[in-house]
Amino acid sequence: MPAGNGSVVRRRVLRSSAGSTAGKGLSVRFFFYGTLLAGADNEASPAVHAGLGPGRRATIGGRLFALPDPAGWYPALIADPRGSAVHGELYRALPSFAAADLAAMDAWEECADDDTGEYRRELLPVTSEGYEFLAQVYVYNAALPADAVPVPDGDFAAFLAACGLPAYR
Amino acid sequence: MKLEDDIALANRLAEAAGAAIRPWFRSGAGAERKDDATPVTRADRAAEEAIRRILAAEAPRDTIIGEEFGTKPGESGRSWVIDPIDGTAGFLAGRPLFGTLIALVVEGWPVLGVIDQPILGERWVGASGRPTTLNGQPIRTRACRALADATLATTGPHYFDNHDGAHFMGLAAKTDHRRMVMGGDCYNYAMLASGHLDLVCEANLKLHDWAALVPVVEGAGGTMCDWNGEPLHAGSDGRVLALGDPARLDDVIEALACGH
Repeated sequence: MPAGNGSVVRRRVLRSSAGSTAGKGLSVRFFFYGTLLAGADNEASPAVHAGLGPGRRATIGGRLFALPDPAGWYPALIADPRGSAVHGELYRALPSFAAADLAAMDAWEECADDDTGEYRRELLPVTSEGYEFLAQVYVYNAALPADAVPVPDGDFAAFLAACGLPAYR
Repeated sequence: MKLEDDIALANRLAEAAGAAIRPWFRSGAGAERKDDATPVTRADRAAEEAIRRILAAEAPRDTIIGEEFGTKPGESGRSWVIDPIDGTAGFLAGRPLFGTLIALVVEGWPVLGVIDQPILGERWVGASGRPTTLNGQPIRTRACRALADATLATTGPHYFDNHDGAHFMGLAAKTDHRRMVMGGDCYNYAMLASGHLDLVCEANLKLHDWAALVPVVEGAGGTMCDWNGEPLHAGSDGRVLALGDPARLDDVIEALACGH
């Protein structure tokens, strides 16, 4: 539930190994800002979006970096409520969204249940059309490499387009 | 910003509903049963029709889910959830403790809620991520240092079956039960948001009963959940808790579980 005006946030731990708790019957939302955005040209995005509703433009507070890789550039989010706006989209899991979908998403993001992966998934406040939502967000969980490039306006796709860089795929 | 537009629209909806309801309040035929001819049914329908007329003109792509006239599907991913008179028994008894409930649900979450009391002229407006207001002034829930000090409210024992009633009484026994209040429907949640009581526990609530309450209570610093402490969602079982002080949540869940 949204933190609102100081209320306690009971963080739902959403585990891809926890069977039916992944999405069915629950209002699970995701915030994506990079390779999992709808329409992204990679193997993960189309499969993930089969189980999600349409996107809604949203922002999260933080700092965004672009990381180089032989397969293309990918983003790293450092969440910070006092940071600047990082742009992405908010999606709601459809009833068909299953634990296997979450597991596939976690695998793509190299996110491990024990928080040892390159990313970890957290329930964080996201803003869309002025409203605050709690959504599952992949945040960077490793030390930032020396060749990480800041994305000053917080929009990963726009940054790649402006710099003529290829997206990870 | 969309939120400001939605709040302005929700205020217009509440005003239109109130204008439709007020002529029927204490209009003299309250002893009749609720059927098509009673004042409460006429007021209910007139209020929902007034709300639907405005939404059809100003938010034609949004879904409308109303207690009286069902669902009008939309295509925007946004749903207005309407209960024109929450608390018909109070309305029929001439008690101004009912309310018009208006919620906006986006991506499965109630982001905006209005509790409007058209007789007393009180309107609580909550939106996720900002403070709840009563007639435009920010309000806060109150702290509750111990469950034994908590004032508990519920609309009535007839809403509980035997099983739920036993759990409720388990909770009531742990609160300051000399101050427990009955009746009130949505007005109890408004009083909780304004810091006049600490806890509301109910069962058998529908989406249109609770959707508008969540942003009001949480924006005032409280919390709402089911009897297991889980966030409410469209598939919730109707067992609803509201706490003014979220720090008491574990105590409340434990007390509820002990009742049998």
